Amino acid sequence: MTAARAYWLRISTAAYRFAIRRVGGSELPSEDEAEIVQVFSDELDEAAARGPAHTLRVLALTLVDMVVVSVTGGFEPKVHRFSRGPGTRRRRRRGDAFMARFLDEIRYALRTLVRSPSYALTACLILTLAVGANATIFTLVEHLFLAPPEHVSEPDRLVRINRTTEMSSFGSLAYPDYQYYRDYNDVFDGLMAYDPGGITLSLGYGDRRRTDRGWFVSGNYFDVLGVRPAEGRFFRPDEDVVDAPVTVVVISHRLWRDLFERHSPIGETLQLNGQPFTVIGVAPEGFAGVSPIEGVPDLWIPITTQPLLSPLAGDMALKRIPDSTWVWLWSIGRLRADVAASEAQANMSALAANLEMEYPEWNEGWKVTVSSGAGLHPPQRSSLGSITRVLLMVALAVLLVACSNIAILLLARNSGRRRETGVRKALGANGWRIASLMLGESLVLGVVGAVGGFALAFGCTRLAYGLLPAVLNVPPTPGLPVLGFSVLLALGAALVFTLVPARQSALLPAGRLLGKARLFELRRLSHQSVLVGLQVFLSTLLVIGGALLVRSLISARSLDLGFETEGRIVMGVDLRNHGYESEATKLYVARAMDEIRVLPGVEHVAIASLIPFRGAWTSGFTLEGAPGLATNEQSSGFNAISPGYFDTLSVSLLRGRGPERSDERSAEQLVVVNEAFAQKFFDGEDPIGRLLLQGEEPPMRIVGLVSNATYYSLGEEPQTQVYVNLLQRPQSRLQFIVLPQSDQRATVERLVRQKLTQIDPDVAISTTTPLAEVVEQQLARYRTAAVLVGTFALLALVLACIGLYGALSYMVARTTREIGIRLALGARPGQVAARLLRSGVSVVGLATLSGVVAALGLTRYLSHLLFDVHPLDPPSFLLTPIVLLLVSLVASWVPMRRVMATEPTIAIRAD
Amino acid sequence: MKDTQTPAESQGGVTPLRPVVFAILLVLQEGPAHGYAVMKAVNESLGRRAVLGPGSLYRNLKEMRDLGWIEHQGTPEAEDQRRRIYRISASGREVARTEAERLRVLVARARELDLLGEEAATS
Repeated sequence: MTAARAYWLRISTAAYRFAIRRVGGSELPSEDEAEIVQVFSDELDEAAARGPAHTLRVLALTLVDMVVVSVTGGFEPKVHRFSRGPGTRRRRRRGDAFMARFLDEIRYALRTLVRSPSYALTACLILTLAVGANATIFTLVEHLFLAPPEHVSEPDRLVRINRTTEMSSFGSLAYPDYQYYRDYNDVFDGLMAYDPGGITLSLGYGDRRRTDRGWFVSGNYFDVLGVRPAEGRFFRPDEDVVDAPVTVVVISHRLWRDLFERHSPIGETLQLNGQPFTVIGVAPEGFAGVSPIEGVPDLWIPITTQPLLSPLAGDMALKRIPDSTWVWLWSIGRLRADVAASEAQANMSALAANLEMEYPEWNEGWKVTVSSGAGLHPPQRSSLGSITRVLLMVALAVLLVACSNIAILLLARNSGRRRETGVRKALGANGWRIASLMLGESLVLGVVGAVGGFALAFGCTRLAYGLLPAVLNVPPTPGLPVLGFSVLLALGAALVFTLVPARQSALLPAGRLLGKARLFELRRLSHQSVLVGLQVFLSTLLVIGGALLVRSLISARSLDLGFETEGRIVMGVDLRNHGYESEATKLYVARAMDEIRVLPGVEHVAIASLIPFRGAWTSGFTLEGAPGLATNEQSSGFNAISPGYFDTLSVSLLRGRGPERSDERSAEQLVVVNEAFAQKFFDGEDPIGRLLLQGEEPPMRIVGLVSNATYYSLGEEPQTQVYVNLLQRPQSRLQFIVLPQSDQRATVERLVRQKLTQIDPDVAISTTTPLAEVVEQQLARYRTAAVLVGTFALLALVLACIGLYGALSYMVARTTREIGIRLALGARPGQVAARLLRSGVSVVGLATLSGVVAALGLTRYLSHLLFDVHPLDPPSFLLTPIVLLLVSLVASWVPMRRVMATEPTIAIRAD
Repeated sequence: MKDTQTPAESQGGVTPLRPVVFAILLVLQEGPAHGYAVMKAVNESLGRRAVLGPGSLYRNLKEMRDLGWIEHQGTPEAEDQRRRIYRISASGREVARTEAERLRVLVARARELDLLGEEAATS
């Protein structure tokens, strides 16, 4: 059983036990109670294993069963004709009475809610919004941290193995290390390894060409996870060896559907990067590995075939498998049934110590950690955890604001029903009875809020998951656990907000309720002031958070990238494994440039090995003739670009010239550097004409200077960059950047793809991406954070405003008579109103102040979402209290007006 | 009314049995079973029209236990104390037989009246 399922089972069983006790009372022997609960738990367990629909059905039927039993006389047998003892009738009445009263209360609640629709609607809306916000965030939490991976059997027994030192934790393993741990441990049923980076493969089947993601996995990958194939089989041990006679591949269910439609793919041959691979199996539909964010490959290939497919040049590729310094694998083990994680840790530590003794040069100082829970890799868990924690806190704050808000509404409402409550009490209703009338009302609100919130979560989940730094394998949708969460939350909230008003009416004696309102309550805000204070406090926190995030988004957006994105589109090709040597690549580049440039509608075109934010190429060099620096190797970012690159991206050329076609014939490499490069290595002097030396490469002569741009991440410090000419230094992965004339995008895109296919039909072309979108992806985090928290803050602010308005109106209503007396005795309306306002403002002021103080301590938890804005940003902190005070003045306006317009003679006669 | 009845006396008073009670007796006639197994089997045999939940199941089991139609089987050591095993008693078997006999008479009469049609009549 998975942990999540066990958890829900436990909660449901506990709830059922509580209900059974309520129905059965003290007459039900505890061993009988245990038996009933056990039957329920068995049934639910089986239903849960069969899916959410069955679970819901069982829950619904059990509820019906419980109602039937309690209505028809509890657990004493109904037709127990032969031994009806004296106690039976009493018990039966008791069960009946409980049920009847419960139904009565619900009916009464529905009636009163229908009678005051504006209150009912407001309360439902507030609760729906708050529960929806929480359910949305909980969907993410559930998806990321709680939900068991699909198709993986007994995920509780899986653990992650990582190499750690004191300096760095959670490092990857080298293949020889993995082999050693796999072969010599005594604690795992199996230990598998995979390459989480994956590889982009060009796939050929018949005459079809496409690019797909592949993962290198150890032969026992699927066995350790306990996955069953949808078709065929998974790897055999003899297929996971270097130089296996037949190379095999397992494909995803999706690829099967796309590529083979209905017919069986088993035994078919796929060309992967030009190598033949035989399909032996299909992974089950929806299988997405163990982690919700590692991506879903379409192809699983044995690790040992890595040299055949590697994008790296020959020697490097071959080295990976036997190389102990090349750490690239993540490893997951399945614990033996009788072994605890701590024993596994001890065993693995011993093995790591052996490795350290035998091969100190590679393993000195390295330890191995066994971390339970195979889902998220520990560092991912912590980074995702910090973001979801922020979101949960924000959502909970909104819920609290909503609760206290509805409590204020209820208080105000109840004051209108004082007389009614007083009559009930005078007629003999006890405090519990009075409170339970209100509980019935909040129960109805709670159910509506739960259903509404759950529905809202469906719509909002996608918005929220854009906030995560990692891309989820499968977009999450709220499921059964989220529904359960919403119900618990809404009912819990309903209970909380009924507590204060219910306690108030329940405790006051009938005389107080029936008599005239007490005098001299004008300055007392008691319950309301606490509730309003809480709302304003939380709103202050949220508004400050929202302000910080919005300012961060604005500063991220207005950032000068150093290049233009508007209208530019990007598509990539990968010439590796298509037989392109460097001369052929040069020809390809030259031909593509020539033919695309003359296509109708094309304004500019360029080819580069890298585009901004996608990938990095750092290389070392030495400077000739630069005193002090000449002997030391320096390093800088590099990019290989075609002629026309700077024009296409509107990067300003400050001095000299850009790359040209004729450079190809030059013996030296003619390169362009950016300002940051000139500043760092030449102290801002003119770099034109200087030489860079790089190993065996021909010397690089600087012929141009361009302005700085953003290369790797938003807001980075200016990075040094060397642009080499693609025609002098050909690369096999190429990005085409095309600037079409304003309205020609679709046509140009089609023509360019046609042209590239014409040049080499075997080379797959990636999907077209607007360059603006690449930048937009960088902004996504900041944008969604600002939108989400900003919306929540606004919501909280509006709620707090309603709350303040409600509380003040309530107070004015309650003290109408006192106000009348004061006015009759000669007080000016302004004085009375000012008195009222003072009590309101002092609460708001105090709450805002504490909100600001609390925010000073809390905003640092937002720092990972802030761009170029300090967590203690003064404008956000100064403006928020002003906004809140203004808003609270507006909220007080209507109640003030009412006081000013009071007619003393009428007011004195008020209740 | 007396507080205790001998099985023979009670039989006359209780038939016709409620369908659920009869179904439980039939399930236990097949062999001893614990609560959840009984519930599952009864729900299957009664089809979708009648659904027995844990509460009503327990109430019926208790009634039948009080009447002496079914009894606890000593819970094996290894078994969970909360999963009590029930088995049918001699008097329970007698009650079930009486009910079946009663039904057989009625079914035979229904057949005579051609209510069940040819196919049912021959089966």
